[in-house]
Amino acid sequence: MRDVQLEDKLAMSSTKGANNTKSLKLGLATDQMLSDTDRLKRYRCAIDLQDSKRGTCRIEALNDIFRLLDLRHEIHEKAVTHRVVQAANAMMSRSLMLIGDVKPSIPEIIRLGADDHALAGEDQFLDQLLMKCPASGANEKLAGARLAARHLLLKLSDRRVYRPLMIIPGDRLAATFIDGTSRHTDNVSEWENGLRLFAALVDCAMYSPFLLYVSSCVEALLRGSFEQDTALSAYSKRIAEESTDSEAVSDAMKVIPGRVIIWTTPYKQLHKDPALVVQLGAAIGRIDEMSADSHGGDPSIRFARHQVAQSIANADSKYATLWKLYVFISDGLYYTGTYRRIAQHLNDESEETRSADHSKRLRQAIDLFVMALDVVWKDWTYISGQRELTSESLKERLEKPMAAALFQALVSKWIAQYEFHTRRSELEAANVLSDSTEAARAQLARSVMVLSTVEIDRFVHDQCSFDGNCRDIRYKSAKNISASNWARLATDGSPEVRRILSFLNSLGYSPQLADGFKLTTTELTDFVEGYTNSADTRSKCDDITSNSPTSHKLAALGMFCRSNLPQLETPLVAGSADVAIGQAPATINDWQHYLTEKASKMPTHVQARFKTERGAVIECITNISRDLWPELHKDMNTRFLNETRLCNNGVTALQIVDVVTRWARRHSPNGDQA
Amino acid sequence: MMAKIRRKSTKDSLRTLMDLISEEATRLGAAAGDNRWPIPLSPVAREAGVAALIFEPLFSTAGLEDLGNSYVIWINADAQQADAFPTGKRIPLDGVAWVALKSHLRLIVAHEIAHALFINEARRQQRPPPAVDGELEMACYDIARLILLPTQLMMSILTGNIFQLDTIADAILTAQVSADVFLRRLKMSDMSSIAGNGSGVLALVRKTERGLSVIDNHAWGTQAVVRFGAHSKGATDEKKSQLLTIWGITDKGGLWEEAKSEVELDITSGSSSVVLPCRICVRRLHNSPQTFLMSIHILALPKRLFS
Repeated sequence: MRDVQLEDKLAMSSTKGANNTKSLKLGLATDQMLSDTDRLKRYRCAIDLQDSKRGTCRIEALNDIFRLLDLRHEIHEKAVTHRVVQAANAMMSRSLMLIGDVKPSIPEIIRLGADDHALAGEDQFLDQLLMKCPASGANEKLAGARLAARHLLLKLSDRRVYRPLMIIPGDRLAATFIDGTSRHTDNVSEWENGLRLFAALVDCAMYSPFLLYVSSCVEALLRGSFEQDTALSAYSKRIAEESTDSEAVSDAMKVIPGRVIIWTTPYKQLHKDPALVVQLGAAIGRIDEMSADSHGGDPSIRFARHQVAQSIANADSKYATLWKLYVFISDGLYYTGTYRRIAQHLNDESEETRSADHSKRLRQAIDLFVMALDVVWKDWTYISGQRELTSESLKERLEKPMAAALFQALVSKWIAQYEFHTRRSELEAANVLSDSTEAARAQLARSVMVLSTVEIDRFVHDQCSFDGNCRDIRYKSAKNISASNWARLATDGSPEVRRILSFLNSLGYSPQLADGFKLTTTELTDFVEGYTNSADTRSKCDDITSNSPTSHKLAALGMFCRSNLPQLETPLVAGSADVAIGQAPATINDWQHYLTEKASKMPTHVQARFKTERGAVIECITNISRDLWPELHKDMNTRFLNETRLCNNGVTALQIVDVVTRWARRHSPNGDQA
Repeated sequence: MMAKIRRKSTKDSLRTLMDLISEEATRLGAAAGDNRWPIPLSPVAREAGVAALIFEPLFSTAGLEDLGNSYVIWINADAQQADAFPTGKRIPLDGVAWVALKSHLRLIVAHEIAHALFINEARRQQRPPPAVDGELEMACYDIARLILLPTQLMMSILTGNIFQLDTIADAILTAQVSADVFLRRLKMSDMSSIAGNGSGVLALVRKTERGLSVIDNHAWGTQAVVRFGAHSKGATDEKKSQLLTIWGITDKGGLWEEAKSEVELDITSGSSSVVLPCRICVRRLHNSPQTFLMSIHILALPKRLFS
């Protein structure tokens, strides 16, 4: 044992080692089996735990060693692994990821050789990073990422760190995901390999696109880009389809969300083995390996070995719970959101359930993350179980981003698992599963086990300024815009501010709303920023008047919470669901209503033209046999739906007349005579 | 008054965009075609951010769907020449079906690409995209013609040969555009010098119920513009059907009977005592409806009868 240890360790000069305190004794180890060259200069310091004068073990020295380990643990627990520190680390890491390849170089950061290098502190570092991500840029895609990085860095500089959505301690994670390897054991040291592997999977290049995509989807759900989790599921199913445009899939693999971060530290970084070399009796070796043989020999040495074993088990359990997996989200995602509040007003919905709904979305977000982690773990278990793969090839896989096909497969599995879990939970809640087997129940219980230690209800909030749950000082201290300030801004504000006020007025918002909902100055600033930074948003907002259809108003409002997920093409069989719904017009009057309703979904210039030309379409329809109306209605539904998807839609009534006439020719029994 | 001012500024902004996009379109068309016809449209589409074509039922002929970071061109499944593509057919950029697009569909696709270029340029300038109106549509058709028939290629092949109908017909065929598109392209300002010192007119003539009707024409040189161009601007259908008579061209010599005919004659009109010595060439392009390409090349200065 001695020889192996000595080979593993760095050699230390014997003279240096000899100068140590009284309690340290130079342990010189030689090995007859080593070659002469090897044997010559291999020395190490070892702490002698043997009191040779009294013939007992120096238990106080042993206690000192473990006290030092305890102190190291305490520093980690209270400083290094504190959730706020980890949130700041996560934000810095994500901002660097978003900045991409324009990060400042190391010499730039530390200013080596420059006269003012001593000033290269945190402020200058953040300043340098901020310079790399200006508030606006030419390339909209890159500018989006860098703007997100800018927001993160500014929040960091204000110490407005993200809040945890999930904190999963190592023991809970091991009990849920790694039970296949640990067999529900309580011996934490048996989890170690599993947790190390889990940390590596979450941090590796291979699963990074999938986990970033999941984070982006959750961000979109919490921001309101996806109205419900069903929309998220439908979108992800489209991404997972084989027929989906490869460019869209590739874009989906590149999304980097700025407001949701899955974060963990490498397990090994925390859990350092207490590898001090000690001499106990005749044996010299690492203290954590001394405990291996605690039988036989001198009773005092046996007792010391037993104590070492106990202390190491104690340290193991502390470190196992010290390691955590985090999901951090911006405080703004705990807020029900300005978008939802205004949208709710537009839809005439009750506000009572708004917070509850958002809590539900946050719980759905947690489920989505748990399912994603489960999918990753199971996928890796499957891959690593393949016999033909060597550890080298496995390592190589982890270091490379996954292929698009695997990404789609994981997304598909993730959504399927989430939907299954949601459905089972609903059924369970409704006591429908009374006849389910014990095994199924146990499986369900495991899958819904509460992993996270975060009580999300302590963070979710509906109003920034009044609700105590808001933790972001920028919003917490923001002032509401009073009616008088609103009026002043409407006349003296900048053009962008005036435009936003007019847009909000068109949506029906005013500071005098009866429900007491008042925008804060910060929220208004966010609106103005969204309007200024995106040409699309400006264009959509500028088209809105108070007479615009609600759907258009909601679409324009939705521009302020657009996600960075790639937009997908419309289904090939466009609007089949819509076509199926709705009765075919039975009278000419019905057709008039139908055309009015369809025209209302068209851009304003089309609507205006259509008003004057609609008569021609009606006249044309009048000449068609009523028996053919249901079929015509179906055809027109599809065409109207397709037209609404076009950004340069300029459909005229004459074009409709032309299509209807040709349709009638094709379908009439008299052919061209119809 | 305010409305008038606003309209003027919108026009100006469209014109500014148009200037920028014209250059871009010419560059894209030339780069994609590598100085050869036909110009492949998929590389141009890629540059404009178009991801695919899709054939679906629509009321309009075609449109552009904006997916944020790319576009999809929707073409009416009932459109002319679209019957080769089943409804729901989606053609990605690398699809071979791009090559199978016929002249009319090529114009439609190029037109939608032009829309995409307008939107891209507006975004680049952080301005709202131009309003969809008649003017934008006309501008997009001009851009489409620039893409399909790039300036450099047109000039290199046609300079000095503009009244050679064989060259013109070959160009129309190889460029995979319609004669109508070709003729309209010749009317654009960058083609003003294509006739060199020559003077004459190029016209598209179709046999209609009213007889032979000049669908479209373009004249180069003062003599030709005065003699032929003045009568054709803003002509109604009825006027178009009378243009050949006004121009003093009858079916003398069986000009319209053959697939290809050429005749030199002095043109007079009505009671005018001025005659123009011209070479008139006619090439039949289509049989149903009968469509002809006609060139009138003025050979010498006008002379007076009985002088």
